[in-house]
Amino acid sequence: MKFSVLCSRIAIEAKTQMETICIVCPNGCRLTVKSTSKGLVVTGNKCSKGEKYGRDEASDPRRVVTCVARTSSSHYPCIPVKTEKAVPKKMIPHLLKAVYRLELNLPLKRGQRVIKNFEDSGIDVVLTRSIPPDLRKART
Amino acid sequence: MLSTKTYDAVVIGAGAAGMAAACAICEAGHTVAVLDREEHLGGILLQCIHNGFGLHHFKKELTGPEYADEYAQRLASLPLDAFLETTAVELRDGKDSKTVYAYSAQHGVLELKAQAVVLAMGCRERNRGNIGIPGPRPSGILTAGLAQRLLNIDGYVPGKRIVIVGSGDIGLIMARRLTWVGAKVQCVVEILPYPSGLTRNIVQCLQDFDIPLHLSHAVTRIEGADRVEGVRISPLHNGVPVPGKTSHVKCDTLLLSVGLIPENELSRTIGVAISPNTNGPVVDHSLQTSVEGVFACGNVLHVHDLVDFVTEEAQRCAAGVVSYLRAPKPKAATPGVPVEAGANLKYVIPNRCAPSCETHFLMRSLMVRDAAELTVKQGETVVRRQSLRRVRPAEMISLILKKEQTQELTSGLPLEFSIGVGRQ
Repeated sequence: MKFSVLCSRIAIEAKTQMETICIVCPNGCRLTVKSTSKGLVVTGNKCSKGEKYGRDEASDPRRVVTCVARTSSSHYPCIPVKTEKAVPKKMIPHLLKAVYRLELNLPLKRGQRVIKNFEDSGIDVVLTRSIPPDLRKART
Repeated sequence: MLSTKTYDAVVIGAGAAGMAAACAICEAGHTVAVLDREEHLGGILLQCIHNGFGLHHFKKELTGPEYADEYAQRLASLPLDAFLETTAVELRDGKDSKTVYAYSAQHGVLELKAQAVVLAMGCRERNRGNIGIPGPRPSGILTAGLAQRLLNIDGYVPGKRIVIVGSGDIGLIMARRLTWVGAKVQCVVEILPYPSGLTRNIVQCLQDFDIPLHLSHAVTRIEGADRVEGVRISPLHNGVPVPGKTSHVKCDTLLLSVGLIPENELSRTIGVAISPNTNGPVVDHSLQTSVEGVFACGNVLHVHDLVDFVTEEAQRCAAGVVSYLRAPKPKAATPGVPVEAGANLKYVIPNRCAPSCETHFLMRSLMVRDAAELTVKQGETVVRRQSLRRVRPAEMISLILKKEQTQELTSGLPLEFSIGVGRQ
């Protein structure tokens, strides 16, 4: 079990119950996740997706991270990136720092991996936009 | 130097709506030009670097730039003319065609003649002047979309301690984005008793970071001489600030996310009638405006909450353009059925439909309710009843009336849409 997962397990076991709002669809069901002897039990969900969301949110909450990385071009100073998979919430600040340290050279292509297997988590950071070679003069 | 070119259709704006419309018209075999004042195709999508786009249309989760790229690639593979960094300034209605006047550094002054024009200019943000917050005018007050552009395209962080006015989606997305670049978002202040943005954004962008959301509150004063130093926030009772309950919040930046206005200055140059309910053109079932041959789609028509719906609307608009190009019908021949927004609805698009013609209606509710019923009536005849599990002003309601269902409609008599209390 990954450390972050373990931490959240411990947290939920200490609290035994948490409230959250499902974000899978616009219904926004109010979920209650209880930790019982049979594992995590989700109530308040209107569909099975909500049950999965509730369990994941209680045991191992994850989010896809999107931000921008720096480039060496003055005409296109930043390029948008995303994590290819959802990242454990606790890992996000550390991952952001790694992205902010990058400085990328043009040309850049959508889908290009700029961070591979971040700290052995299996998570890659990819570009979400293509930028052609910088043919213009630098902006003054 | 003036250069003149002729096309079947000219699309103004190369955002989500313009790109989808231009592609579909071109794929139907017509000559098309698309104009945009920016340097790249994609419009506002390029600065919306977060994910959650395309779930309906592409059946996968994309970021804004990726959604734009899907269409930009399709556009590049088609034989159409894209004029970038080109600003359209005027539309004129001629005897045989419409003329679009535009200019750019590369092309000089352009005179583009076309049978049909598609308005796809999008919208712009309401600002401080629109909501009238009292106080001095220091720097550090900007709209949420401008802050988004500065941060995501130009690479500037607009401030360190932020207060966000309005709980629209752009403001919520910016709360998360700013937190992730190390700024402290103090709170989000919403004048209404319910949030204006999507629930998933409240959860992912505010609750994840413990950012307080003050509903039924207003910023009643901005403080600071050169730079914003703080704001006063008051709770509202029946829309009026409660005296003595005002609190002070320190901040150096105030972001405004207080709604969007369709950008129709260009539409007015050709005399397109504008609806006071949507601030967009009045359109019929094929999304044709009051000026024959001029069509509109996307946020210039009415403000959408999902880009997927913009694309879908643009495709319907393109279908309208294509059938117009094949057989132009004079406006007078189709008086049509006026569409009216009744109880609990802000507006219904299109503003006009026709008997025996399948029509896709989009509407926005004025109320928050979990079980409601939508009723469509012409005179005393109920055309359609539909129960709705959930209505929110932030979530557009969609309803399709099939050809059979519109057969019985009488021209001239208004078709009224309304929302009432439904069965739980």
